Amino acid sequence: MSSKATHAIIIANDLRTGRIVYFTNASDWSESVQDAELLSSDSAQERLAIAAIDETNNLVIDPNLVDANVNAGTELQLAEIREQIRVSGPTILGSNHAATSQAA
Amino acid sequence: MYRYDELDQSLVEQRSAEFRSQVERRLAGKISEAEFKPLRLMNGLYLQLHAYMLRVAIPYGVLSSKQMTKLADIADKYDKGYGHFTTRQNIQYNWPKLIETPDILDELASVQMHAIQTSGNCIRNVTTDPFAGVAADEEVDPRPLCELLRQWSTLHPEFAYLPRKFKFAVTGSAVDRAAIKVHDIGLRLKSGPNNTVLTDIWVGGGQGRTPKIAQFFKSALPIRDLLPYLEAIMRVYNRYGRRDNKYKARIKILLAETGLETLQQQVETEYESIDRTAFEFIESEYARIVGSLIQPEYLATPETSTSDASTQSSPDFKAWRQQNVKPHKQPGYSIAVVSLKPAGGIPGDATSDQMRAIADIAKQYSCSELRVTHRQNLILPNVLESDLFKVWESLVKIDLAEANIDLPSDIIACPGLDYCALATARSIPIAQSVSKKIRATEKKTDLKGVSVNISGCINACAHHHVANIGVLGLNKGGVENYQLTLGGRNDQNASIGQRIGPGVAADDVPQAIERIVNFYVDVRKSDESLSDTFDRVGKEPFKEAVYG
Repeated sequence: MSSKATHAIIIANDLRTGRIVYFTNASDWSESVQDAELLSSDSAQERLAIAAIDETNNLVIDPNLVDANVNAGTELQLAEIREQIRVSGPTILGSNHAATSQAA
Repeated sequence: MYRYDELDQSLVEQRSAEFRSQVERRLAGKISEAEFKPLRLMNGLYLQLHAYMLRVAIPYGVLSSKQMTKLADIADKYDKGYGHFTTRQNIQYNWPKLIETPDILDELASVQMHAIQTSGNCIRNVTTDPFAGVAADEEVDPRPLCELLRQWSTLHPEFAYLPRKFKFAVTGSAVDRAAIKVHDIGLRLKSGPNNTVLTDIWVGGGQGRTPKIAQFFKSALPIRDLLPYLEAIMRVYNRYGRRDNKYKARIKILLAETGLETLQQQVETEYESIDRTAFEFIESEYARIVGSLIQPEYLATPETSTSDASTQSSPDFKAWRQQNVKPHKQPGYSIAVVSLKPAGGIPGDATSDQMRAIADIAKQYSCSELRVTHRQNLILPNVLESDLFKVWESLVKIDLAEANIDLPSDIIACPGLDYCALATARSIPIAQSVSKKIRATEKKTDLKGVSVNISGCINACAHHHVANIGVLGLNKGGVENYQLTLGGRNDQNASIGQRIGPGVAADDVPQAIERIVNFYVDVRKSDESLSDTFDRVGKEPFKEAVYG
């Protein structure tokens, strides 16, 4: 977690489906970013170590910390454009495929 | 089309069963991700930003209607109802699940398709002229050699773990539509005496972060000697190619570091040492493959007129015919190029409905055959001229009748940061914005052959280095930034484009390209291409036009 971010979240890919999943307060995985546990710099590495156990358990692939900022107290903003797209899905402009191109 | 035999069918079925077992062991935790990754990559399965991505091989870009229909069905059943055609004449699915991938491979095997060697450090899908076998200007049909190369390279035990991936391209025409000089090995087939086929060989071309034009390596090699000679090149590369740095592992780097003459000597020495008895079958096998190509039964005296009233009164049809229809070797027939680049669309994408419809069009009007081009379009290779209007009408109904082949809106774009784990910037939305803006300009301007290619990172999957107008997306301090290159070519006079100035913001790319095109139109001489104009006037005037 970089010094520019106020928080971090843990993102991975689900082994069976490949879909993006987020590590939750309950030490589980959710496909909704709303469920992602917001981590401070104090707790980030410790929680990542716990999340990584599920990689060993063949549930997820490559869990990693992603910088996030919380704006106006509630809105989660990821720091890097790559991670923003990972979370929100392809940014492809209105077209015959846009509706089917969004992340599940 | 080539008629596959029982051996091919058995091979793809066995490979599918093998992968099913590997997936089961992975899900059961019997093999780790580190152990599984190279196995899934050998079957074309990547893990990208949002999901797995499956790359399916389309050998030398040739497809039957039945196969295209199967690809559409897979898109519906296992993905999100569309597929993405690539610059290696393959198709990619962006959303398959690991648990369903073995079923997808089974379905592919049912139509003799597979995903073998669409990834990994092996010999990848061989590409060729999309007009192979039907081009009016063709000297030698490259498809039999492509099939021979497919058989030779498929699961070749010696070349499964090369220093890096390895790409072949083949052409049989003087006009190179297969970009052979930007491949690891490029082959140009020529007619020899007494109905023989000779091959000129180029080695060491490639793009990526170190773009190189291939060097002329061997002249007029008879086809019977080609496989042992290629085997010798591959062995030398396998032995001496660098494995310490993946960015320096391609044969283009080996050639640059070793020198042309030394590398040629090494190959000749290896070639002389090869046991030729193992290759004795080549000429007869080549002849068998030629015989196995299902040749359309062309009408001897086809009707050539399309003179009904509706044809004459349709300017849209005339535009499509002028831009998308190419000359065929057989009198009375044409090659129809189907643009997958509607203005504002996603380059190379087709919905399952479009895939099914075009499979039906091919069945009715093109001897059930289709091609995929390295410019991410589709081809109906055998259309009677008298059927062109009906084909166009059918394409209009599925929104695939854009008359823009070889125009700036016929953009090659990689998946970019919207899908690709390696990308540094988006390319598809940029392509959409560019094509929307430039389509209006090109409709009112007499443009000929201007290519725009947009890559989302330095790996150059969209071939931006050899585009007349190249766009490279980078990440500059957390913000997408796009470098512009001009003057590239991917034909028989292949050259690498030159960067014309500082990168521009994403929103400014369409305007920059429009300014380049407008400046070119203003200063060109008669039939001069954009790259010829760039060579003549130099970088500075174009730079001034873009940056003011």
